[in-house]
Amino acid sequence: MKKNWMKKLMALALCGAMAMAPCMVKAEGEIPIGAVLPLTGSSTGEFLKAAMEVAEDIINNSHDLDWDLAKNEGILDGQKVALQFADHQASADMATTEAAKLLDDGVVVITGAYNSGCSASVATMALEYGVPMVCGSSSSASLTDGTTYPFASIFNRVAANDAQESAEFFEFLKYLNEKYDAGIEKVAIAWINNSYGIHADEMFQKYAGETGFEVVASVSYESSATSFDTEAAQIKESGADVVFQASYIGDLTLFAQAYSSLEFEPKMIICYCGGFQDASFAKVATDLGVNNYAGGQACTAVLADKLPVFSYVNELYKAKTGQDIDGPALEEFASVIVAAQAIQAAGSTDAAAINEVLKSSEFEAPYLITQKIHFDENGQNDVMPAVVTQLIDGAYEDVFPIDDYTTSEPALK
Amino acid sequence: MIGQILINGLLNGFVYALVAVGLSLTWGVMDIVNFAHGEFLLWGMYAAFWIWSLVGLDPLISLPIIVVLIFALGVLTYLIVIRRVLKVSGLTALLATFGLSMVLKNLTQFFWTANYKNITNPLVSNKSFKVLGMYIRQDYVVAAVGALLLTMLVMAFMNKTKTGVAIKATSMNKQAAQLMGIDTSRIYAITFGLSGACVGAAAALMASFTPIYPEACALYSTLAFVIVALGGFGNIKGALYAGLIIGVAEALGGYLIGTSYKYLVVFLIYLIVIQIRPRGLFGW
Repeated sequence: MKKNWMKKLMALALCGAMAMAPCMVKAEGEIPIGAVLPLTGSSTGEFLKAAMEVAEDIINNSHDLDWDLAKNEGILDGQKVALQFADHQASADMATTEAAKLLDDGVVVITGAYNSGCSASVATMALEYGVPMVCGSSSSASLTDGTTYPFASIFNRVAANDAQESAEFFEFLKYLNEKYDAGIEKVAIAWINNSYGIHADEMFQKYAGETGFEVVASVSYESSATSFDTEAAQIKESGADVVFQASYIGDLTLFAQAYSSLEFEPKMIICYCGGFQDASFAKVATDLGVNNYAGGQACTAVLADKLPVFSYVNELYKAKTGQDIDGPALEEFASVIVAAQAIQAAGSTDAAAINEVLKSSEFEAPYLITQKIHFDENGQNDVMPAVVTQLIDGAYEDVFPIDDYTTSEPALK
Repeated sequence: MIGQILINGLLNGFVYALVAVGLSLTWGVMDIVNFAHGEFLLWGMYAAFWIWSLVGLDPLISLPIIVVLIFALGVLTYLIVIRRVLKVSGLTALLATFGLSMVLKNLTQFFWTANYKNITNPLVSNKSFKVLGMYIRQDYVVAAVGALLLTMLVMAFMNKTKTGVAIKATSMNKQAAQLMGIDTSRIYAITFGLSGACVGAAAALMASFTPIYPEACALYSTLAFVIVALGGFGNIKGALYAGLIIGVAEALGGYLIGTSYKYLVVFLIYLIVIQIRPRGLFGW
C-alpha cells in the first residue's frame, strides 16, 4: 500500500515537472535576457518584475508612441525578447547561484539585482561568462568606482550612484540656504548596516565635508530590528537640521513613526533611493502629516504631462500593479530597454558585440527626464539620472534642480 | 535622554513578554519547541490587517476576534501536526514545527505577497504625551498595558481555573495527570490554543505600529526564545520579567554601545545567564 502511494507521488511530481518544463525553456527565435531580483521576502521585487515586463511588452509589441523601439515589434528583424527571472531572496550567495543558472541557460544580457551586494555577485558571475550586465537600480558607488570590483568591463548601471546623489543632495542644501535662508548647518545620517547603507554613509561623510556642512551623527542599524526608537532619539539629540536616510521601506516607516512620536521635525529628511521611492511610503508620510521627506528619483508621476512616453509606461505599469511607477522600477524598466537597444545596435546576440555597444553608445531614453543614458568607462550612467523629489501632500514633486521639469518649490519646516 | 531610552525599552519589553508567554506555555508545559510561533504572530498581524482593511475594525477592537482565530490555529496545529508526532521520540516534533513554520511563511507570501502593509489612522496614534521631558508614545502605552493585563490574565487562568491547574499538572507529570483523570491530549490542544491566543493578542496590539510583511516577525520570534529561556521554562511571571529585561537591555545597549550592536547585548545577557542559571533567572 505504501509503495503504491510512493509511486503515485512520484508520478505526480514527474507530471508537475513536465508541466513546468515549457516555462523554463525559451521558445525558438526568442532572445533570452536574464533578470535576477529579490522576488521573495521583499515587497520591491514584484514591482521591479512588473516594470521589466512592461519593458518586454514595449519591445515585443507595437505601441502607438513616437519611439522606434516601441513602434516596432521585436528587435533584430522581429525577434522577441524573453525575460528569464530568478529570485536571489536578497542574498548575495543566492544571487551568485541564480546568475550562474541563467548564464548557463544562455542569456545574452543579464539585468538586476536591486540590492547592491547582490548586483556585485551577479556581475562577478557575468564577468566569468563574458556576458554584459545592465544593472537597473542598485545605488552603491563602489559598483562603478573601478577599483572595488573587477567587473567594470561588462558592468553598466542606469541609476544614479550614491556619490552622484550625495553631490546633488548637498547642492540642494546649499540652494535651500541661499534661496530660502534655511540656516542648514548640521547634518546627520541613519543608515542600514549593509552594502547600500555603508557606501551611502561614506559618500554622505565625503560630500558633507567638501561642502562645509557639520556631521553631527552617523547612526547605523540592523534591518531586522523591531523598532528604531533609540536610533531616532540619538538623531534628535544630535541637533541635526537635516537628516539623511539610507533605509528600505520597512525601516524608513518605523523611523518616520519614531521621529513623529518624538516631535522631531528636521528641516528636511533626505533619502538615498530605497524606501522613499516606494509608493507606499507616500501613504505613511501623508498619514503622519509630514512634508519634509525628499530623495532622488529617476522620474515622478507628476511629470506625466511633460513626458508622454513616461506617461504611457506609467499607465501600463499601473494596470499591472495598481500604483504609479517609482524610481527603482523605472530604472529596472530602463535596464531591459537598454539591453534591447544594445542588442539591436550590435545586430546580433553576440555578448562581446553587445558589450562593445553598451560601452560606446548613447541610448535614447524618452521615458526619463534626461532623455538619454550613457555609460562611462566604469559603467556608470554619467547623464545624471535623478532629480530631487519631495513628498508634498502625498505627491512626489520635482523640486531640484530648477529647470523646465521642476513642479514645486521645496516645502521647508 | 537616558530616561527616554529606558521608557521605550520598558514599553517594548511588555510586548516582547506577551509574545514569549505564548511560547513559554508550549515549550515549558509541553516541552515542544514551536518554531512556528513567529508565524502565529505573523498570521495574527495579517488577520488584524485584513479585518481593518475589509471591515474597517481597528486591531484594538478586533483583538478578541484575532485571539479566537489564532487560538483555533494553535488547536489545529496540535491536532494536525503535533499530536501524531508526540509519540515519536527525538526531534520529530521540533522538526514538524520547523516544517510548519516554513509552510506558513510561504503561504503568507503566496496569499498576500511580500508587499508591506500598514494600518493607517489607527484608533490610538503614534503621537506622544510628555512626562518629565520624555515623549511617551500612546500606541506603545496601550500595547504595554494590554500586554501586561493579558499576561496577568494568563497567570490567573493558570493558577485559578481547573483547566489551568490541569495544564500545570500535565507539565509536571503527564502519567500522573492521566491517572488523576485528566485528558492530557485535550490539555495539550488547549495549551497550544492558549499559546496561539497570546500571540494573537500581541499581534493585535502591535499591528498598528509595525509594518506587516512575511519577514516582519522573525526577530520577535527569536527574542521570544531568548526570553523564555531567560525567564525559566514554563514560568509566565519569569517570561514577563525577562521580556522587560530584554526590552531595556536592547534599548540601553543600543544607546550606550551602538545601535548596530543592540542585539549583541541581548544575546550576551542570555549566554551569561544560562551559564550561571541554566534553568533561567526565574526557573525552578
